[in-house]
Amino acid sequence: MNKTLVNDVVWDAFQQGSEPAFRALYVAHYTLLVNYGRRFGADDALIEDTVHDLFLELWHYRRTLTRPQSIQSYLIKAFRNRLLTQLAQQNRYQSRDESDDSFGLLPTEPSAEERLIEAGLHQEQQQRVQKAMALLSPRQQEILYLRYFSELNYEQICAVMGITYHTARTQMHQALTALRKRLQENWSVSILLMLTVQ
Amino acid sequence: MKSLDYYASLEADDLAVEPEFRAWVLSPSPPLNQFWESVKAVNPQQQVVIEQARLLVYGLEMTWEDVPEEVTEASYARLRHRLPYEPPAVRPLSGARPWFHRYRAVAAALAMLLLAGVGWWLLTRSPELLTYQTAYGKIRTVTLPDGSVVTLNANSTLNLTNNWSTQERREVTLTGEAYFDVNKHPNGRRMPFIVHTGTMDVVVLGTRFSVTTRREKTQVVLQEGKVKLERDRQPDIMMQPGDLVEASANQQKIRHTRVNADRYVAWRENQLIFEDEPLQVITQRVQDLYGLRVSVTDRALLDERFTGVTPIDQPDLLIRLLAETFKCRTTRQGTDIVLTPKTR
Repeated sequence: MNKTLVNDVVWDAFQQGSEPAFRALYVAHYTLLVNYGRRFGADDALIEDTVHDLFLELWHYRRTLTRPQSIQSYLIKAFRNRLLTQLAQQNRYQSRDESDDSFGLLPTEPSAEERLIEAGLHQEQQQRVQKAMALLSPRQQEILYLRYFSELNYEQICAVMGITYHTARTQMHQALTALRKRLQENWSVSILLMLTVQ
Repeated sequence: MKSLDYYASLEADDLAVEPEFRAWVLSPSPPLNQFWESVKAVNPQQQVVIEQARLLVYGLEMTWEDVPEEVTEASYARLRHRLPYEPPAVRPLSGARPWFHRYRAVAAALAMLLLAGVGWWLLTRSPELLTYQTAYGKIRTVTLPDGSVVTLNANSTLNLTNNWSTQERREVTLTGEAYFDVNKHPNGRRMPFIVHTGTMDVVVLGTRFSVTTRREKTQVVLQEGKVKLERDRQPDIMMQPGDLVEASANQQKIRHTRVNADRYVAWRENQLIFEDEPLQVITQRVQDLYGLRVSVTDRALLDERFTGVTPIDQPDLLIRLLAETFKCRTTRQGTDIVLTPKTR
């Protein structure tokens, strides 16, 4: 609760032209936007350019903006629109025929892997989870992603992705069913393990 | 934590976004294990869901990479270069002053000489006179004669109490709050560095720590290196990095705990951090740092807790935040601020 409160006050200060408040907004959202952007297959240079353009515009129009209901949701939506426009342009020039929802939970750097092995997940299990998730539709993956990493609720996620509430719920439900099916084997093993331990 | 049957009908995605669940999956600990085992026991039908949620957390975490603070700061610095320059409202001086321009170099040289002279005089004449002070709401970083760097928080005073160039010890007296980054071997010599406070002496054996001494109480937080605390007629205390020790003048008992040291020195980055602190403690802090006396009309409020971060040089923002959080009106007269709960 305090977090949003601070953000609202920070937002007001930013609108009144406070550069420290502007910086605070930037720092508070940078990590999320970078990670989110990478999921669309954008490289870091493009992501930074996009974040910069977004924040430059915010700064430029700060006096006329109204405070959004959710600052995070507002920034994510604006960032996504810009990034997808950029990516579509790139794709046109490079004549790649990917559609604009190429969102993917790709495998990443080894540091996360190590962290998870420490938390008790074997490499083989990791690969299995990754594979199962990669088989979900980009849209399903994105809903999952936003739900997990952002503070957005279903309505806000729908607004960001331009889908209806009903679609989002159905997609999520289908995603979970699909995952359950694919990982069934995995569970029977781990549940068995749990039972033997007890 | 929530009650056990809260989890009876959650779907895997709902579960995966629960902070308590994530904490358990990513860094299991005995109390968390116990809690989630009981959730499973109470809701046996949820076992598959819990397992699925666990895999969701793993799968999603694998795609996340933290961005180091320096990288974010560097990125912001690049953005800052692109911000339009907004000139401060300064009135240009009317009329050129050629005589000034002609003699500017001479004047600067004279000023340098004068400054150097004053500095030399201050350093050699009488070391007791070396005093650093900060006003309410101001932070200041100073370099001591031995190269140690001290950051003074608001409303604090640091005195050098002996002549460092002729003696074997470096001694300072502190009232208020300061962060020390001590030079271990000034001029290649090993000289103890000692901070005197009302209640104890901090003997420095290496490097970075912060000392707060207000209201007859002294608190030391060690970030890096080693520190020994010496008290009157009491055993010494050796501190390890991450230790917090608090002692007061009128009590024998001390508090010795492990803390997140970074939080205690956040003020150096111009941040004031409160983590679940009662309003009572916050009002004391506000008085120490800003000289503002905050009182409440409803005493029950003093036990209410608050979490938040504000820039240290903006006391008004903090007051506004407190008023909003506790749904209060503020009335201010000079340095007295009264919080009155809004009637609904």
